[in-house]
Amino acid sequence: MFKVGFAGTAKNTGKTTALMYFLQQAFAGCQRVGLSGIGYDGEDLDHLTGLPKPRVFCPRGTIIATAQRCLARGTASCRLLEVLPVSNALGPICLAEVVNPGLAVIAGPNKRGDLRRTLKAFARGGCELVFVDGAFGRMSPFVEVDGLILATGAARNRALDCLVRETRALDRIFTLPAAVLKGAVEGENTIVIWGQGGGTIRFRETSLLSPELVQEVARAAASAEVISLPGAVPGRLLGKFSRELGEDLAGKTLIVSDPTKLLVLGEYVEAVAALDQIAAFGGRVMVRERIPLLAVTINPFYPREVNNTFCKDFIDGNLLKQALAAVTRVPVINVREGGPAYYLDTARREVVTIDN
Amino acid sequence: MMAAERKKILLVPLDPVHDVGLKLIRRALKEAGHDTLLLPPGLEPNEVVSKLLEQNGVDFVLVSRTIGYRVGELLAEFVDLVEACGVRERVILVVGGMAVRPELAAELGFDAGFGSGTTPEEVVAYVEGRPFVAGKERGTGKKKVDLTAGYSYAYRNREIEKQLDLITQEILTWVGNKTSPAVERARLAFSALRGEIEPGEFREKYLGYCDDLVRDYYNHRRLPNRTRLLDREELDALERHQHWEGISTAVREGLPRPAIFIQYGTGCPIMDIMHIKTCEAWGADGVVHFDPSWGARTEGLLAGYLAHSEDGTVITLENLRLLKEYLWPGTLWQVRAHRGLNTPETVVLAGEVGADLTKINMVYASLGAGMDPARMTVDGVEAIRWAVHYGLSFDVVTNEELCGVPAYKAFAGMLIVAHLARKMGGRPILQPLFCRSPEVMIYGQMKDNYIDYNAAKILALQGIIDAPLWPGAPIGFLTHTEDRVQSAVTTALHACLARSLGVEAISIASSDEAYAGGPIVAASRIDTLRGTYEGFRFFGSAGIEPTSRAQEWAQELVAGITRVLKDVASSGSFVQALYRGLLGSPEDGAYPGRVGRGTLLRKEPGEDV
Repeated sequence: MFKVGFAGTAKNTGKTTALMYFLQQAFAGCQRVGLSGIGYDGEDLDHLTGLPKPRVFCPRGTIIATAQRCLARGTASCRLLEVLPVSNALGPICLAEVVNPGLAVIAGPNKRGDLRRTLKAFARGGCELVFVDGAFGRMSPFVEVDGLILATGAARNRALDCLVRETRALDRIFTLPAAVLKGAVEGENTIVIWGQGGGTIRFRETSLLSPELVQEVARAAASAEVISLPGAVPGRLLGKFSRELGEDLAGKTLIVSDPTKLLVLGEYVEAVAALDQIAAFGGRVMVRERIPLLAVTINPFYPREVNNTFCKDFIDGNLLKQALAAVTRVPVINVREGGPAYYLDTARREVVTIDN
Repeated sequence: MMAAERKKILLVPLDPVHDVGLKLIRRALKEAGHDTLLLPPGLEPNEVVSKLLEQNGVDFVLVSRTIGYRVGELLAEFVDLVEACGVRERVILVVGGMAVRPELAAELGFDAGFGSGTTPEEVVAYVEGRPFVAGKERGTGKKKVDLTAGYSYAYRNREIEKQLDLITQEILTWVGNKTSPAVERARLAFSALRGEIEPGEFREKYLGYCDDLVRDYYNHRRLPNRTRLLDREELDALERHQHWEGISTAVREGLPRPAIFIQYGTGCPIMDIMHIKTCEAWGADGVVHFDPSWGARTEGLLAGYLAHSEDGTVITLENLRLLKEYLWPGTLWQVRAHRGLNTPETVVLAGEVGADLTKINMVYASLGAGMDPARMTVDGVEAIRWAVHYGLSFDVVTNEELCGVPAYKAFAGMLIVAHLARKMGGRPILQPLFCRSPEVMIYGQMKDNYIDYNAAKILALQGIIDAPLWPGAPIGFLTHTEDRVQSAVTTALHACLARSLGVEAISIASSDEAYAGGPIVAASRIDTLRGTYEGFRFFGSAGIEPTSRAQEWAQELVAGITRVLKDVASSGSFVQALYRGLLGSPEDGAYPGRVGRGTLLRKEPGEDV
């Protein structure tokens, strides 16, 4: 079973629209498809902006994982397969098969452990391909998927240069090399420093969350070889860490758990600036677990606030696509461009790649 | 002593300045014996998570934030950070604030979400893992109540009691051996529902007492105009639509009275159910079934799941059963039977299906609803007999006031029916109108205020008899305009007056009911329920003080009632009194009806219920 996450850099960046096209394509390929999401999708109007949202259409045979009470909120008829030992703010989550196609409301597991348990249930249900829709800019649960399709666009930032900078940063973070920890530090889930005669220093903390802790870890790491940071590493604090160590970073390896840990608080650009600085000092950053980036989808739409309400607006989609394609190695797809046929072709190539 | 396991709770105002809501919740949590730590406002998400990680064994993180521009992103980043730090599985994250709903909480990654109106007790219940079934504490006032409990029906005005005795004895004697097609159908329906009669025999006999419209339906499946049968798909869709959110809070919140009734009758039972569920969720105590006016002028009831494209939902056994199935168990249900050719049979169906209340008044039916007084008297007595059989209490409405009949005459009629019911073992509820009736428009009793004359009506009735009162229907009738805010306000004020006068129940309209010109919308129901709630909240146990005019008018009403009752008693015939206008005349605006005239039958010897 292959698991694909649809993450967005912000709300309204086109995650659900992208997911819908991939879902149709997967059915065209006759695969048994599972569908869930870590947010709340399928409502006709956005909870916050009040603007219309893309609906989630499920073909017959789709296996969905959603809050049980949401089954009745769509038009798709579903057969209940299993109530999972997992719940969200709307109650217990269930696995159900769509027996009559229609619209569905998807509110699935919204934390990593619950997503893992849900994905296992999809596997038991015989799914070959599972799509997991994202919510807002939340990335952390996607540690559980095999590949990520990233949606970005004007809803994240209307300034093209900012989107370019961010997309470059995201591409860089998702392509960090993988490291394997072995021996005594293999199972560590707090900050650990070791190597070059300094012995092994274990911290109580998992994450670099305060300037004080950054200073403390940097002091301890001055003569170390490897610094393992298993928890969250916000970009700004990674920058401070880099500055604290400066030239002492030469020859050092920082190991982060996975790319999502560098994306917290939306500080991608700051994280990449820190990665550049570390590299300039002769250090390097690796991840214990990679999450392959499969494609970037773009959406020129953004909700514009006018007199305390929101209306639709767009930036230039062609310019956006060209600019982003120049800074990432994966395909960049405009969800509003070329119609479904173009998009489906692109999607097919990606799905074939996934299959291989 | 604390019953629940002690929990450790971190309270986080993820807001630049506001933490009042969390302080209230902290107090409730501390009182319940839990450990709490309230962080200062204005911390960044990473600072909050640092504090969370410093604390050992935090069970819950309660985040408070009003939703606004970019706040969704901020909250999502916070949740993501908790996850990235590896502690998400160990803590339960809860978000609360204006505009927060469970759907938004799910989208943001929280385990629960509480919006405006949440009480600290609700949060404590959640933390303790107790079901707060949409308001265990707040909903306690929504237990089904007996509106007649505690009333002795003893008269405080002996003269009126004496006249009522004379009149009602005459009525019972007059009805004697008379029967009607409706009386016979009711008995047949009762037998059929108990399986005491073969379906074929029932049908043949039943249709013998029906109009062509009903016979055509049963014999040729020919539907009356503007009706259709609901199809299987529609009924299945209703069955699938099971995510009723339950009861939030009672409008009267914990106080025994008055019970708040709304009236439904969209024509479609499925739409009715949507309206009922909306009103239950916004605190209504009871619902009243309205049927189409043509149904009341047709001999015989139809069958099946029938929808009607105009006002009023057709009374059939199936429609009533469907509605009953979806009613919350604590909701009082009234099925009106008061003003048509199917009055006794409607009471039988209501009783069989499990209604709590019905509505019977042959005076109003005769003078304001087009029914022949003689026929309606026979049917009314039979309907009361069935209501007693099923233990259904019923209100005696005085809508003839809306035709122009002055209140004292309408009240005289109401008291006759109520006294008759008492003689037969029933538990009637008096229903004076709280309205700006033609009478007050002409004579100016509401020129200065709406309080005094409405209060006078209640004071008059309370001075006559110890009986439950249920002003309606709806309260504030003819004070409403097409302006929804105005309508909700006037309804709320009339409700507060009714509460101040100590009545048992009130019926309220939606804020668009008087001027909808078609179907009313659910939002307008919420207008008046919310308005009434706020009115009750505002006045609490404080009362509304009428001027001295109220007492003067009450005395005038009692004098008028006494005079009318004496006239009716001395006339020697209640039915003739109706024809002659003693209880409301053409000059007043009341005309004895003709529907069902000449249809009375003679009872077989020895036959009785």
